[in-house]
Amino acid sequence: MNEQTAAPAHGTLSAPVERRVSTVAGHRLCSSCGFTLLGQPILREPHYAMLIIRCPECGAIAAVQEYPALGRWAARWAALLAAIWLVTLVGATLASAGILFGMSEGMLDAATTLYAEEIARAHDLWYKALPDPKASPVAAYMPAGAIVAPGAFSWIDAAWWKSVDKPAFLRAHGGWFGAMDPAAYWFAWWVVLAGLVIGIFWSVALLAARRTRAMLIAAAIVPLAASFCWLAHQGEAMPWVSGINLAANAAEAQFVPCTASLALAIGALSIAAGIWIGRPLVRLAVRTLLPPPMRLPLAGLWITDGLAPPPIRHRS
Amino acid sequence: MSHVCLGCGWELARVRALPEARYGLCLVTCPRCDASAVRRPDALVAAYRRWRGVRRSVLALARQGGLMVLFVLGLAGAIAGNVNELLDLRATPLDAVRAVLSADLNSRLRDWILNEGLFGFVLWGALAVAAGVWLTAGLRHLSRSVWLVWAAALLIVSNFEWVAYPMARAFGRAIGDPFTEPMPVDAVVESRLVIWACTIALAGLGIPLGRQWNALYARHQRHRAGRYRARRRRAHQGQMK
Repeated sequence: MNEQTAAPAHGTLSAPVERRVSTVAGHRLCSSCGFTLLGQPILREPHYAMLIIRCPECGAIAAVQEYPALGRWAARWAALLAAIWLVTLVGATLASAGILFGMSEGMLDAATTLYAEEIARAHDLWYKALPDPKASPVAAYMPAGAIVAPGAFSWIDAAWWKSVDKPAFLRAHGGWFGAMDPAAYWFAWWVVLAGLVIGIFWSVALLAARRTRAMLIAAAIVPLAASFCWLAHQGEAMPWVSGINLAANAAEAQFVPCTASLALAIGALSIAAGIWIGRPLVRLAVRTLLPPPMRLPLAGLWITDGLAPPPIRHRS
Repeated sequence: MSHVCLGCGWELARVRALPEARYGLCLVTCPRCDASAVRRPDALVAAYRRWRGVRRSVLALARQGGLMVLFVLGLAGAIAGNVNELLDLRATPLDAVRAVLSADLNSRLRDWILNEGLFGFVLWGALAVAAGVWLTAGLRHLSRSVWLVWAAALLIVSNFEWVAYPMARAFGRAIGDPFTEPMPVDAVVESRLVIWACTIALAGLGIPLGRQWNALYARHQRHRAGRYRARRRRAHQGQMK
């Protein structure tokens, strides 16, 4: 604590003076102009003998008398709110991973439409060449006499698909990136959008953490989303039907490693970008959309990055 | 709430806080030891008030953000939609105006505008005027350059069909609901610019309404401040008696 006393000059009447007793160590804003009072002296004023801070910007006085919380309820409420906040953050982590998983599934669906049609066409050729097509389990699902064009949601014989050299079949259709529906590349923009929104949310939710440390959340979300993908694609797609499969499911089972890693990589980069630009973006939104007096309660967005809070009065 | 004098421990909760002239603070003076102190709310009350302030600002931010998205995306969509409709009818905005003003009851364009297209045009006009009110009253703390930024954003976003259409198609494919609307690649640039300029002009009609709103709000604030001053004066006089 700094103790300084401004002594009156010799030979003059001793005028009451303000005595410096300490310095503001925490973040406190002037209630009049919003100027941050960090580092300002705390004075013992002579008239009422109160502790005050004088704002160097507008000269407004703030009394800094603090009373200790005598009851236990303040601490209890603080602990309860901290616990609720922690549970909320854990829930938000799971929700972020869920959104990223959903996006990777969407990308998988968008990517495999053309390849599933190729599988259905190959199956159709094989099916028509069978000496006795009625022996195939697919026959039960073929409407008698109807001509059905092979599509992504056509039934295929599971035994036939098992006998096909799948890597060779995929190579014959251009490999992962050649067989991929171009719609998947456009769907990647949805992944970017979702990742940016998730990143911006986390950059504000983790206000106490520096941006580099907040990036760690991306490192937690992506493995969680990857584990969701792994769990979702374990075993057969439709275990309740035997001997048949959908062309779309067969295509998706082959494409999962490609689209899931692509979507998760794009998602991770977008989340990191969202965390990086999140706070500046939210600060810009606050400055643009809110009138100056309403910015004061959100001053934490500036203080956390070591910036001066925005002025809370209209510029004259 | 309890407020204990730090000088002698006297309970000051029932002592009235009065404004003093030297620092402009509201002070409670202990009747026993004469020590003065500002009234401090309880820690829980102070925390609740802080939270209420944050909630108020966050809700205002969400409301303003929602309006911004509505006015930019809604009007950009309306500009693109009107251009596409006119393109389908092989007409320009000037043709549409001529058709409406003409008394030709057999005009297909006039028939379409006054029946099928009417709702869309009315909605577009109302949205544009509401945007003008919002820019004048809702963003009154900003300079007039906000109009330039908004108009530029509208022009850019309304030309983003080449991104919006393939993204909508990809999303439709992912959720199994094919979006087959063809992209209007040959939409007329002149039509787009004319409808964009009409949107800005319609928004300009919202300026007087926005100013009226600002005047009403300022009057309300003045009345509120007057009522607050009167209440404090009455409290001070009551203490003096």
